[in-house]
Amino acid sequence: MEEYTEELIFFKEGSFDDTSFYIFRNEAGEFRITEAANYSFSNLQSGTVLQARMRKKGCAGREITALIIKKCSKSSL
Amino acid sequence: MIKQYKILSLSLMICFQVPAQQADSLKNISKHISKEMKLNEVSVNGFRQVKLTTKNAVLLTSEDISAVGSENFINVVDQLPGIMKVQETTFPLIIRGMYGSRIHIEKNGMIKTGIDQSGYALEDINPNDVSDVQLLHGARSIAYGSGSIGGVLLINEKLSFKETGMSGNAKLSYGTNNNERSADARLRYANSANLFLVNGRYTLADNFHYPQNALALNSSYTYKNISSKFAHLFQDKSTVLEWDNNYYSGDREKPVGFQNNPYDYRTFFDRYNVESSLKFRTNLSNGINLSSNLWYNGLNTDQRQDQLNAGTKALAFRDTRYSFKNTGGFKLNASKKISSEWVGEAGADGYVDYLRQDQGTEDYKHNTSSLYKYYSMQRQRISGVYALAEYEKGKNQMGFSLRGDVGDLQKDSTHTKTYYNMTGGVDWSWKYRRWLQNDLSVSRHFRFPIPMEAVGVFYGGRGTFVGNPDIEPETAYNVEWVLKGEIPHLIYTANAWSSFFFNRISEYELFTNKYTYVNIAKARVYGFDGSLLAFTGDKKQVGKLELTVNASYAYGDDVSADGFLGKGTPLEGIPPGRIRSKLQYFKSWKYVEPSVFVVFSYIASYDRLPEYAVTKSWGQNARNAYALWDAGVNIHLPKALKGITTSLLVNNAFDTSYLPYGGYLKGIGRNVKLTVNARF
Repeated sequence: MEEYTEELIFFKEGSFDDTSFYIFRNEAGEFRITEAANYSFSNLQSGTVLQARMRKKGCAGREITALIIKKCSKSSL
Repeated sequence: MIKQYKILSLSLMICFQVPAQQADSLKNISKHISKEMKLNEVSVNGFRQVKLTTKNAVLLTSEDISAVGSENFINVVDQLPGIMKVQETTFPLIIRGMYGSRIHIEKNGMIKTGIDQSGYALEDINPNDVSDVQLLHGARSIAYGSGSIGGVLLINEKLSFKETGMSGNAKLSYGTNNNERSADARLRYANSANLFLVNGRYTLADNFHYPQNALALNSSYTYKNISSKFAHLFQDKSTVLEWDNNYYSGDREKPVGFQNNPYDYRTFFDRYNVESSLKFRTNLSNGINLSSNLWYNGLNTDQRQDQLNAGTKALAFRDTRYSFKNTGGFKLNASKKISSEWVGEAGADGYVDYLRQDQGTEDYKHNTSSLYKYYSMQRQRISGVYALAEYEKGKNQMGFSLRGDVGDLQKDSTHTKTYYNMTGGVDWSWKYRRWLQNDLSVSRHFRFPIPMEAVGVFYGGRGTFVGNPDIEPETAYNVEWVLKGEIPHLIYTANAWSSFFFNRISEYELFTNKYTYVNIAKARVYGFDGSLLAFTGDKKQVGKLELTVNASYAYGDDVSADGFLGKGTPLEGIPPGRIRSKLQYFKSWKYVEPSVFVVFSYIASYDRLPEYAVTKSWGQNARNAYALWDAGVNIHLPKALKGITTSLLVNNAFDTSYLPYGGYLKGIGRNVKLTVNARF
């Protein structure tokens, strides 16, 4: 399964049916979404830059398989 | 009175365009082809617009519609280039690999959207009500607003005061595969100033059969239509008031296994679908042609899903989704010939669309039930203004269009979103010789997200779809290049097209049975439509032989990572190519006009799928290529009443077993259909 890395910017947290999601955007403005329960970030703020490992999934094509915080947003510093 | 300008002629199921003047001078073109070429005005507000020439348009005439011999209108439009049927019983309309809100459908000037995002299935249309179908691309299609990316499909009813007195037709048909019985009657009365028309249809069908006579459980349908038209032509002979109404109800079962679940029995109950439109057209003294259309469409479709217990086959669970949709709008349009070379048109339109959904469940296994498990109201409003201009001089013709739109979405009075968009296009046509005309078109199109994509929640058969409030409108730049022309006995068109998408809205799986929508930065869809008509002979002497060949291919790629010229990865749901040829022989005597035909269709294999699981209910399995043969004979008696036509049509003549694009189930087996249509 082809995997690649992508730089993502944290956008906001969302929830649906009692499941919380982290919503990110990449440089092209595309959304990337992952379930919050899979991660234990405490300092995610809008603008936080992360390095994500991605793989193809479904119609929209991408799934986050791993996330590392690369740079915190100014407001969180 | 406004003059009729030079207008570009369209042809029917063959996708060529040649000017009407040329058609008249082409002695060897048969009478019926010439007649079709006069049907060339674009429909605006449900009225024929005898002004602006149109590029990139194709047409189905009433003859083409009746030749298909189907009570399901989606089979009729399946004849147009670029349109691909997904599967026999559960398919949306796809144009150039696009469906739902990526295409724009108007019937008699009303915007038709269907219940959910997979789009309008055209289930409420009685083919006998329709005089012609137009498919537009390019700059002219901008005028119709959101959803013109894949094309604008206009389904029209002709209004004419020419034939006075009482007239009509009665049609009876029977199909052997599913015992489809259909009766249709149309009564029309007109004098020089008034027209009254009423049309009714009742169609009943049992379960159909797959090849080798295997029964498709739970696949019957009924269609009931009644429509009316009242029109008044004022004394100035240019002012018309027209009131159209259509009522449809029916039910449609989905064959067992259509979503790969052998215990799922799904039925759609179309409780009602009411349409009404009040149209007005006049010519002002300063040469402006004005038209308006005030319309309403309300429908209620309930989807019932019965789950059987796998062991006992007893009913375990019943889920009913109640969907109500109310849509209404207004359009105003003015056009004028500005000079001998320029024609202008401007218009404004707006519509509002409310969708309400409720659900009831009955769990027989655990003896529990709940009614109105949820309630959701979603509203979409879109309005826009547009202007078109066309210049024609010598061998060159140019068209310009510009449109601005504002749209908003609301869900349950709490979530709202507002969008804006500007679109426009340029067409250039250069006719070198009769045998070579070159059309180029560049246009920007858009679609606003629909409520379920942005603010709403939609409860569909596959799961729950929750909107993404941050989603952006989708835009696409369409480029088309058409070469066409005619030489004696041959007419051809080759159309290469491409759509370059920005922010393409795509489905995204959140977790099992829960979906949302995201924007893909860049995507491209491109393809080719080609057609050829060759003919020889004369109907009255030795007879006339005609061969038509149509080919449509489309490809789609997600090119977010690679750029528009990069390799990309396949987009989901882009259908494979198709070639369809029809060989027809006509003969005409004084009292009898017979014709026979054979149709050969080849559907290419469907093997360009995204690499990983696709969540669509269709288009997710690779399929082999297959070929189908249809044949038919028509006997027309021109002197009996005002013409009696008997036709015998055989679909899938060799009872070929095939898996259509997008389906889990096999295609329908051989069907022999007999139709008698008497005009009086």
